[in-house]
Amino acid sequence: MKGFKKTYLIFFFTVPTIIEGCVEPFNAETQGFENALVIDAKLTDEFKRHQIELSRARPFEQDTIIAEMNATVTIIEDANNFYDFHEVEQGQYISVNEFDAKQNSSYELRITTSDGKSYSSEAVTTPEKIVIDNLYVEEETNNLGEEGISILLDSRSITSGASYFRYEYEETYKIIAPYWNPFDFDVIDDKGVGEDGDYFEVGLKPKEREERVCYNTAFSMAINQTATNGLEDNKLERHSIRFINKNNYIISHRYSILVRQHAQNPDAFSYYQSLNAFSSSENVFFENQPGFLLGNISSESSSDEKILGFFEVTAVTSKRIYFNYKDLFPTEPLPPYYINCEPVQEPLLWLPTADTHSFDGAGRSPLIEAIQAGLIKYYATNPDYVETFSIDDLSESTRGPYFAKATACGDCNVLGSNIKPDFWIE
Amino acid sequence: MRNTIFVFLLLFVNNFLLAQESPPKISLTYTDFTIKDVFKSIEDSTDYTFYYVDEWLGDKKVSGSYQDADLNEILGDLFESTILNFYVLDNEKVVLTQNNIIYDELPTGFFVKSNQEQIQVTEELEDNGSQNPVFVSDERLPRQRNVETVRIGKETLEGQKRRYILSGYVRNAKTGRPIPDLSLIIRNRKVGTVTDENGFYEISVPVGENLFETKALGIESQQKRVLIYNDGQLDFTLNESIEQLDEVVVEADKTKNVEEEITGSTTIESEETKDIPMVLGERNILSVATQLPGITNAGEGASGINVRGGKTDQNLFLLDEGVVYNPTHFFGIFQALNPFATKGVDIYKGNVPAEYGGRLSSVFDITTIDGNTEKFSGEASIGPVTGNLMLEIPIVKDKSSLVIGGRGAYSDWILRSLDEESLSNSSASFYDVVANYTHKINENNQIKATGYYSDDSFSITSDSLFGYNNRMLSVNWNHKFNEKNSGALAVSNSKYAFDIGFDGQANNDFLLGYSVEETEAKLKFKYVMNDTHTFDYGVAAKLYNVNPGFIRPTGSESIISPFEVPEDRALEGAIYLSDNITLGDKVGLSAGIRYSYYTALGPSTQRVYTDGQPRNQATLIGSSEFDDNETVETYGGPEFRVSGRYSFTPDFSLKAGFNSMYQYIHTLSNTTTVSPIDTWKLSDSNIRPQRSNQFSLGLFKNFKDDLYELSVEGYYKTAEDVLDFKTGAQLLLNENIEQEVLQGEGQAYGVEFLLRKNSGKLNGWLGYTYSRSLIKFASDFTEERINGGEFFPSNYDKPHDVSLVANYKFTTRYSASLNFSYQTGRPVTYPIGQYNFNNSEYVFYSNRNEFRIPDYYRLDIGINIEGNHRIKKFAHSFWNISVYNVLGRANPYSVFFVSEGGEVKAFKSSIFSIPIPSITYNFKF
Repeated sequence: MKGFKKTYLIFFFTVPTIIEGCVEPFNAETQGFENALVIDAKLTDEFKRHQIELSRARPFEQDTIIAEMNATVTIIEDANNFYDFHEVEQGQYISVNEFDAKQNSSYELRITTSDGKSYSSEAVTTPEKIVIDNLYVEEETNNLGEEGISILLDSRSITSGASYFRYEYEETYKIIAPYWNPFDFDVIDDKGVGEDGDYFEVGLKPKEREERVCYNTAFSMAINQTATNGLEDNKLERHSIRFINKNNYIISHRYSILVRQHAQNPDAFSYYQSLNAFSSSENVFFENQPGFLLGNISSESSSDEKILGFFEVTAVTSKRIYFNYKDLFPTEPLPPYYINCEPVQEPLLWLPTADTHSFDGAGRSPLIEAIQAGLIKYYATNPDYVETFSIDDLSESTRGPYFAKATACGDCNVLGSNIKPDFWIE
Repeated sequence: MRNTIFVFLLLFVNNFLLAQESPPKISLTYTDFTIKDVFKSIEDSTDYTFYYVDEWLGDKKVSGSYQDADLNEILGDLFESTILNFYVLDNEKVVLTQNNIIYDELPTGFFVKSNQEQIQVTEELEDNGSQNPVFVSDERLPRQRNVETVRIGKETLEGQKRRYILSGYVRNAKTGRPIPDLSLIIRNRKVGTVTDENGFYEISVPVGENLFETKALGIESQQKRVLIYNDGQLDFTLNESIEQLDEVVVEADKTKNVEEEITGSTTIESEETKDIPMVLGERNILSVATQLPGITNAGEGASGINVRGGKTDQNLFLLDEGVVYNPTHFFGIFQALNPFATKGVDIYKGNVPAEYGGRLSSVFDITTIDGNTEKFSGEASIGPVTGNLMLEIPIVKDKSSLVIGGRGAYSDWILRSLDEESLSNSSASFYDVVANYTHKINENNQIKATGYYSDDSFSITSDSLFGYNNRMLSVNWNHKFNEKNSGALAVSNSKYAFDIGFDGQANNDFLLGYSVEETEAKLKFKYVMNDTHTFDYGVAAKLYNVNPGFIRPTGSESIISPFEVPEDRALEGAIYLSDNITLGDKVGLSAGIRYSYYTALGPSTQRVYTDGQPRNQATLIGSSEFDDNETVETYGGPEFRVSGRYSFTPDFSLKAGFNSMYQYIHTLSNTTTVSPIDTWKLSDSNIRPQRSNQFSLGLFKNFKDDLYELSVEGYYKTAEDVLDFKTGAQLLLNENIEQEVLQGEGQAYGVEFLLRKNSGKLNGWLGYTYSRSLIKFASDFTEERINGGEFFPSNYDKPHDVSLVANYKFTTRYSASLNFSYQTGRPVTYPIGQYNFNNSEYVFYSNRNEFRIPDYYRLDIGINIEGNHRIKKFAHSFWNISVYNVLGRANPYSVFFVSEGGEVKAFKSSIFSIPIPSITYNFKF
C-alpha cells in the first residue's frame, strides 16, 4: 500500500449530483482581475505534430480568447532532444517535426513569451499505455430517471500499479432532414412593380447540393476521469463515457463515437480532478473550498506568478463504435427532430404597402424575404394558389404560392455538414 | 423595640441569679422509655419538676443508665439529638425550651448599646465565639399573615457563631422534581442564594430571625420566618404558579451575570425557547444560541457553530457528560436533541471551567431533564416536520424515574419543501431517541444514566444513500461525602459514524464508512472549604478509536476491491484543580489549571518526511511501525483558566479572564462549510494538536432590580496549529492525510453587547457583536501557503452581527414573538477571471476569501397560544404558529461557477428563500 496515491477513487463525487436548493444564475462581474498566462499543452505517444495553445486569462465581460502570440515554445526530451514549435495561428503552436512521447522518457516544456519571461514545466514521464478492452453501448436509465443509452468502456491495466485515465470523445452522427425535397426555391424576380415595373416571381429548381443527409461531429467538453485503484485487479469495467437521452435527435439514425483513453500521470489526474470539482454543479449544502490550482509549470523569474494550465504527457489509445437507433429500439418511433417541423408556413408572394393603389403589385414579398434570410425550404406547391397583384383582390383568404418548412427541416446542412467523414462506415 | 427584649430577658435573669446551689445526685436506669417517662422517673425520685410542652418531646424511645449523676449530665444526653434546651430553676424546676437557651448571665457589653463603637467591638467578639443570644421580637419584622415560622437548630453555649449554614432542597410540590435556579432571598438581610441543578442550596445565615422568600419563574413565591439557632436543614416544597407560562426567553440566574467570576457563559433553557420562531416550527436551542453574541454559523444549512471566531470542530457538545459529535439533523437545520427531554444548555465561550477541555472554542454542556418521580407525565408535539413524544415514568416513588423521548421526521418531504425541482429524486429522513434513568439512592447518592441515539439518512441522487448517526451512553453518580465535600463519577461512551452507499448502474456499487468512538471516565470533586474557598478538582481519561475510512463492494457484481485505512487510537488524560475565591463582596477570583496529556497509541504506521520540505509523495522517506499500545507520539501541557470579578456595586461588575486550551482531535473538511461526511482525525506524529489562548474583559450591569441586564464583553484570542487543507485535497480514504494538511495560526477578536430583559410583558434580548476571525498559513513553499502566508478572513468571519429576540405577552394565553438577525455576508472565494483550457471555459481563483456574499438578514415571527388552564383538564396544550423568513429574503448562501457545455455559468444559491409558515401543536399531560 506504500505506493497508494492521494487520488483514491473519488469518482463517485463527480457523478452529476445536482442538488440545488434555490439556485439562480447571475451575471458574474469581474472583481480584482489578475492577468495570467494559460498553457494548454498535451503531449501524447502518437507520432504526429503536437499542438500547444497559449492564451491569457480574461475578465468575465470578455468573451473572446486572447491569444498569446510570438512565444518561443520547445519541448525537451530527456534533457537533450529539443522539439521546437512554431505559431501557425494566433496562440496555436505546432511542432515543426512529427514526434511521439516515448516510454521511459521524460519531457519538459519551455516557453519564452514575447515580453521575455521564461516558463518551464517539471519533467514529466510518459505513463504506461493501456488499451481499451471494449467499448459498447447499452440501454440504460440514468440516476435522474431519464431513459437513454450509455456508452461504456472496459479497460484493464496490465501493470500491478494503479492506472489513471482521462477520456475524450469525438462523436459523429448522421442527420436526415425529415422534410427534404429535391426542389429548392428559385427566386426569379426579387423586385416588385415599384422597383422594376415587374411582379415578384419565385419558381422552383432542383437542389444543387446534398441537403438530405449530413454528418455532424462534436467534441467532448467535460472532464471525464477514472482510476483503477480501489478496483479488483485494476480492472475497469463499465466506465460511463457518455449518456444520451433516448429522445436526443443525435442518435436518430446512425451514431459513431471515438473514445480516446489517455493514461495519465497521478499528478495530472489530480490536477484535472480538482479542476473538474471546482467547476461542477455542486451540492447546495457543502461547497468545495476552491482556490488557485497549482499546475506543473512555473515562472523562472518569479516563483509567485500564477500560471494556469498544465503540461500533460499521456499514452493514448482509442476505439470507435457505431450503432443505429433502429437496432437499439426496433419498435420505437425515432426521436423527435432537432426542431419541431410540424408547422407549415405559407408566406405571401406579395404584400402591398398602404398607398400602392395606383401601382398594383408594388410592395414587399414576405416569401422572398424568408427565402433570402434562409428561414425556409420548399416543401410543396399550393394547389389553391391564385396569382393576385391587385389590392382589390387581396383579402383575408389570399394564399401564398408554396408551402414551406423551417430550413433545418429540409436542409441538414444547418445542423451538420453534407460531407461524409472519411472514417464513416455504414 | 430593643426594650421589650430587655424585659423579656430580665425576667429570667432575676430568677436565674438565685439558682446556684449544689444539685442533688441521681441514679437512674431506663430502657426504651419515652422522654416523658424519663421525666416521670426523675420527678418520682427527686424534687425536680419538669415544665414543657408535650408535643416537643415526641415518641422517641431512649435508654440510659446513670449512677450518682448530675441532672445536667442526664438531660444533656437526653436532649443531645433534639432541639430542646433546659434550665434548672431553684434546684427543683426544670424548664424546657425549644431552640432557645436560657441565659443566666448577660453577654459582655450588654448594657453599652448606646455606644456605636462598642457595638462593633462586640460583634467582633461574637465572631470569636462569645455568647450571642438569639432574641425574637414580634416588632422586629412586620408580621405577615400565612407566614410559617420555622426554627432551625439547637442553640448551644459553646462554639457560638454569628452566622450558621442553612441548606436544603427545593422541590416542586406537584412533580416532586428539584427546582433549580430558584432564588432564595432573605428579605430583611438583603442576601440570597440560588439553588443548583439538584434544587440544593446552601446559605450562610445570620443568627436570629430571617424572613426567607423564594422566587423562581413559574413557581409560587413562598415566605418563611426562619429562626436560626444553629446549622440546619430546611427543605421547601413549592407549588407551580400560573406564571409558569411566562414568556421568559433566556434566563440566567438572576444576578449570575454580574456575580459569577467567569466571563462568556450563558444558559439557555429548552423550555424557554419554545416561543422563538424557528424554521418549520422545530424548537432548536442551538439555533437560539446562534442568536447570542459571539456564536454564529456560516449560514442556513451550515452544520456547525462558530464560537468567537473559532472553527466548527472546536466546540465540545456534551449531553449529560457524554460527547455528541454532531448534535444536528439535516445539514444543521434542525437540532438532534429532543426539546422536551432537554433541560437546557450551559454555554462557555470565554472562560471554560477547568473541568472541561479538549476543544478550543467552547463547551455546550447540555443536560436532560430529571424525570418526575411522583406521577406519570409527558409532553408531545406534532409539527410539520417531526412528531415528538416524551414520557416521564416514576419507577420508585420519590426516588427514581425514567424519561423516554423519541422524535422522527415523517417523511422525505422536507427536501421537497425547499421548492426545487432537482430535488424531486432526493429524500431525507431522521430520528433521535433519548432515555435517562435517575435514581436518588439517598440524600447523598444519586445516579443518572442516559442513552442517546440519532440517525440521519438522505439521498441526493437515486443511486447514493448517505447516512450518519450519533450514539452516546453515560452514567453519572453524584455522591456527597459530607457538607463540605462532594464528588461525581461520570463514565461515557460516544460514537459518531457515517456511511455512503452507492448503488448505481455500473458494477461499482460500494459502501464507504467512517467512525469515531470514545470512552471516557471522569472523576470530579468539590470541596467547599469555607466562605472564601471552593475547590473543584478531578481527573479524566479518554480513549479514542477512530476508523478513518473503509470501502467495500456491495453486491456480487461489484468490482470495487475492499480497502480500509488502519485504525487510529489515542489516550487523552487530564487532571485539574480550580479554586473559586471570594474575597468579600467586591472581589471574586476563579483560578484553575488543567494539565492535559495525549498519547497516540499503536498499532500504527507513521510516515516520515524529509525535514524542512513540504510533505508530499516526493519527500516521503519512509515509515516507522508501532506495536499495539506502543506510544507513537505524546503531546500535552498546562491549560490555564483564570478569571476574576470586581463588583463596583452589587449589580455592576467588571470581569477579566484568561483561558488556554488544547485540542487533540480535528475535523478534516475540504468544504467551505461543515458537511456530514467530514471526518475526525487524531493528532499523530505528523499532525500536532491545536492550542489557543483567550483574553477577555467585560462589564456587567443590571438595572431596575435585575429586570434589565446589560453586558459588554471583549476578547482577543490566538490559536496555533489550526488545520486547513491544500486546494483540492482528497480527504476520504486517504492514508497519507498529512500530505494534504496545513497547520497555521488563528486570530480572533471582538466586542459583544447584550441587553436582555428577562421578565414582564415584553421580554427578550438585543445583541450586537463586532468581531473578526482571521487565519494564516505561512510556509517557505508555495504549495503549503494560503494567500501568500498572510492573515486572511476565515469562512465564518462576519464582522457585524445584530440579533433581536422579543416576545410580547398579550394575556396569559396569547403571546407573539419576533426574531430578527442581520449579519455581514460571509467571505467567499470568488474567481478573478476566466480562461480556456481543454476545450472548455474555466474560471480561476486566486486568494481565498477575498470577497463577501451580500449581507444576511432575516425576520421570523410567531404567535403562541396556550390552551386554557383548567386544572382538571387532561392535557395542557400549546399552539405555535410561525413564519420563518417573513421578508422572503433570498439570503445568498454561496456562489459557484460551473463549466457546462464548454461555457462558464455563474450561480448563487440560497437555502430558505421564501417565507416558510408552520404550525406546531404541543401538549403536556
